[in-house]
Amino acid sequence: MNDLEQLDLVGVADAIAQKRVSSQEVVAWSLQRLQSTGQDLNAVFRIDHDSAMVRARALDELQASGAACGALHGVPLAHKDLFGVAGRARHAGSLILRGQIAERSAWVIDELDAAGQVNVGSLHMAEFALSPTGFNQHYGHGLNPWNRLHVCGGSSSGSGIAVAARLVFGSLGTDTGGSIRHPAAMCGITGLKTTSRRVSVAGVIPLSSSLDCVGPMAQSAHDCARLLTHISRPNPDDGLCTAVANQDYESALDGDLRGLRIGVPQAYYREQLDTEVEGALTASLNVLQARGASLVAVDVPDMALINAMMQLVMSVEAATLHRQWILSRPQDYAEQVRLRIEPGFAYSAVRYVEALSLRAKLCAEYVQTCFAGCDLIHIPTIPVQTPSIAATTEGDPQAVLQTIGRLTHATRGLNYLGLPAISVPAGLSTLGMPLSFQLVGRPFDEALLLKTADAYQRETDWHRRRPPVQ
Amino acid sequence: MTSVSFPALVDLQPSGWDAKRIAAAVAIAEPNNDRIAQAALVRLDLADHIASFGVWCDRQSRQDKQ
Repeated sequence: MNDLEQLDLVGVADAIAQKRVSSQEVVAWSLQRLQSTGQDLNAVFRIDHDSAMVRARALDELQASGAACGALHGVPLAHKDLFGVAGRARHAGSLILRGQIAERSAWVIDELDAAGQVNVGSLHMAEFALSPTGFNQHYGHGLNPWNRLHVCGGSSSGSGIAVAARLVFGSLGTDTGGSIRHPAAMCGITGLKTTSRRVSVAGVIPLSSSLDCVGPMAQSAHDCARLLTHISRPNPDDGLCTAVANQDYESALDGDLRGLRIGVPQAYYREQLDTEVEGALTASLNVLQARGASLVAVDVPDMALINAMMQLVMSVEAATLHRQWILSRPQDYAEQVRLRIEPGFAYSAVRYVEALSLRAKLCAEYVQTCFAGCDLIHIPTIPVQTPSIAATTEGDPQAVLQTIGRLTHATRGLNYLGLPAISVPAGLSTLGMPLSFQLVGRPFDEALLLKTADAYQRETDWHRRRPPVQ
Repeated sequence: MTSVSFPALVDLQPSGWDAKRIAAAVAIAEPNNDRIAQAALVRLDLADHIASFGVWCDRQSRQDKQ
């Protein structure tokens, strides 16, 4: 089979299940691409060539024996370097953790193993998950496969690059303020930030335990649905994980949007929109309407307050985690990363407890305001076009932080609110860079987000477009 | 009403941080501190606590499914 680049995750899983191709063939292909294109785009921290081929061979033999196979049987995946893989190095894009070996695998890695994945390595990420651009001073920036002069998005940068450049068929990322949705939007793939506590974070290096979410990144919503089904089982040993049952998210994908009410906020989310982003948003709404959805104008509560809450919680929890290192090894942090952590030291404990205590109330207000007459809302993922690397790294650090802050305008508040959100490819700009939209749902309504995104992708091929890389 | 500042979690000066670096951190934190303090005064009551968020999400999910 020589057209593996044409397949998505579901397609390659089907091809393996139907014995049109072996896991060994697909994994060897993926390893070769990681070694060549992956290194070239700086998407990869580690390639596990030998263990991946051993695993693929074992899975092929298992299939040949007639044993039952999982839904991801033999499919090569690779994940952000935040996820523990037992016995493997993991440094989270930092110098601080360089040389450390994970003692055990993250819960979600074990879950994907049980579903049959072949984990082929670990992917590039921003230092300690603290950049929406893919910035990494220590290991080099991730390079956007659509144009290397532009940022690839972060912090799950390698995941965005690897899926977009067809190096692997899917990847797990984490999202504390947009870290799944930014690289998904900037690299032209689909990325789902799950409801807070939906997916266990056990074995994942935290940035901010109250805000961190694990989620899938893949070509299509259908791919993401398959991945989510296999990572979202409640983990009884993780106090941060919900007990609300997960479901088979693929079973909800029927393409039918009749009766769906999509809320379209004008305030806040559509302020200072880039005109091409705005055009892509409008075009995507037309497609969703044509599939049967109706549009409803909705209000937005005070986002400045919600963003303030998010900034406080994120920086205080990050400062708590990094306190010893930032005092003893400050030179081992990039300045841009330190500047994002250090405000956490300037907040009082009372403010922190207030911010967390207000979370349920503010989330309820947001849901009552935005979702009063609709089932989900439609907003941009990023309100501007993907900036160049130079625009996000050069000049006054405070000015750079402001530019970067603009990227998270429509994403970061949702992490404080804990709501699920999906970024969906929705066009290409005149510069040839991906454009996107974002759908936001009520708590644990991932199935509706995936169904809606999947219906859109049945009508469009933006998620199938491939960047100009070999 | 203007909020009264509480002491920060960590006193940065004894840790050897220069005034410019401390000022940069405070410049980001201060407006957020004020906003959150005001919101807490107006909205927070005895029934609100840190763990209520998870409980609310789970309950909301059950209601949505009905």
